[in-house]
Amino acid sequence: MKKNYKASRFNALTNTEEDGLILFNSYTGALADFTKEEKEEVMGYLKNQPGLESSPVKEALIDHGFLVKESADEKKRAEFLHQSLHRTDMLHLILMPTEACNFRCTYCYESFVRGKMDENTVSGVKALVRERITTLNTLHISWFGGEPLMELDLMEELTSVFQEEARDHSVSYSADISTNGYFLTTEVFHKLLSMDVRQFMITIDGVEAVHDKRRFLIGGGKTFSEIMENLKAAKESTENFDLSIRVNFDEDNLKETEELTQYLKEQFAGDPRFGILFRPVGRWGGEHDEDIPICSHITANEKMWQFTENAIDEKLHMSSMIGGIMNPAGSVCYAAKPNAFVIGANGQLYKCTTALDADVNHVGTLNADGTMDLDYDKLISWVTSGEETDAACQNCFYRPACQGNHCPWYRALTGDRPCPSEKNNIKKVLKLVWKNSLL
Amino acid sequence: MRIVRPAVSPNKNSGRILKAAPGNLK
Repeated sequence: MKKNYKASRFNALTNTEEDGLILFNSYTGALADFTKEEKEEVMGYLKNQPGLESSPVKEALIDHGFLVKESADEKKRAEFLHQSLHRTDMLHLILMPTEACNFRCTYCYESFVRGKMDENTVSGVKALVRERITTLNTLHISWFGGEPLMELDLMEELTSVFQEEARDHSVSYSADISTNGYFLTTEVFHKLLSMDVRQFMITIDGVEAVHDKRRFLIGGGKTFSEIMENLKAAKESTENFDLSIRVNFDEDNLKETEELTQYLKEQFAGDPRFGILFRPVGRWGGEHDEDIPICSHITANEKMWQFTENAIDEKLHMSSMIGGIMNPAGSVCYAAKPNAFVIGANGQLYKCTTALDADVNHVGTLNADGTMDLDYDKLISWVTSGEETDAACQNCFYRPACQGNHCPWYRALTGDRPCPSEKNNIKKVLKLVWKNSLL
Repeated sequence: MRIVRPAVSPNKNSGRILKAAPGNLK
């Protein structure tokens, strides 16, 4: 029997520079390009024009989800995808081996009231993983803080337990780290690789003079040259890794980013292990919030992608985070995922890594025996505040990627929809992902 | 035609840190 197909409601499309077509589907994460000559045929299938016979192009459109069966209920598909986040065979722990930091960045929202993770909590983390590992397929650890590398010994101690348990139970283990990069010497870098840390996020806010005015040591000491030496040494490694260089921008360093791109190009252009990520600084609860010259929402959105395009034009790769965000459920924040927890240095359990002082974010405590005392009402408020009650999200082409849950805290505070910039600028971003794929 | 990114099974992201607030948090 001949099957009838329709265009997926989760498609987005734009043109290439040669007047070809770029097609994206947020339910499958697929992205394809078509020549100017193929475009008419593709648009014919998407508009369900009669008389079009099957072809390799049509088969590809079906295989990658751009065309779906006439009978498919795509809203139900999105609902089912959302439910799959409740699977219990995945665990994502965001660990703070310390809440202290050797930096005092001007726009930081953290308060550094606690130091190294206490012994009860260390025991609790180990016991929690040992207890959960038997039902897991995937364990992912995010090393966070504070500056996690201030407690590298503790990271090693915990990792040896994670790796051993994962190996014994055939669980896929992976880890990432957010670090200021100051302590990331060659020796430390390779130690982290052996600890299965393959994804790195390191912030550089401008060329030396600009960066050192924004991201300095306690007491004001410079940090740029140390970090750059470490990054250059990492580049010499033959190992595979994925390092995002994050550039946080506001009105103070906005005009300096072009100079930074030129500098980074000299170091990292053409090496796909290094990707660049531009993000606007926000007032996220730090003590210097009122002093931050934040960009307007419009400027931030425009500049984020303009800077990215400039970088790609200079053969710098775009951070893999962008591609990850555009996967199914890829834009859902860990704060909205039932199987993700932030564990503070004192065993405090959080959902969100920014609202650390908010009562609703204190969702429980981790005991030394690995049990969690959870306040389910607080937990529920984080994981059920997305598309469930938002008709606009339910009808959105980007729904499978973000589920209305890109930032549940922003929605809770402002009442506004926390749409990701990738969605708001989808045509621009598709062009950039496409351009980046040609590097 | 070029498949830049293939379809992934919808049942397959394990999580990374991207503090993603699209604006001020206060």
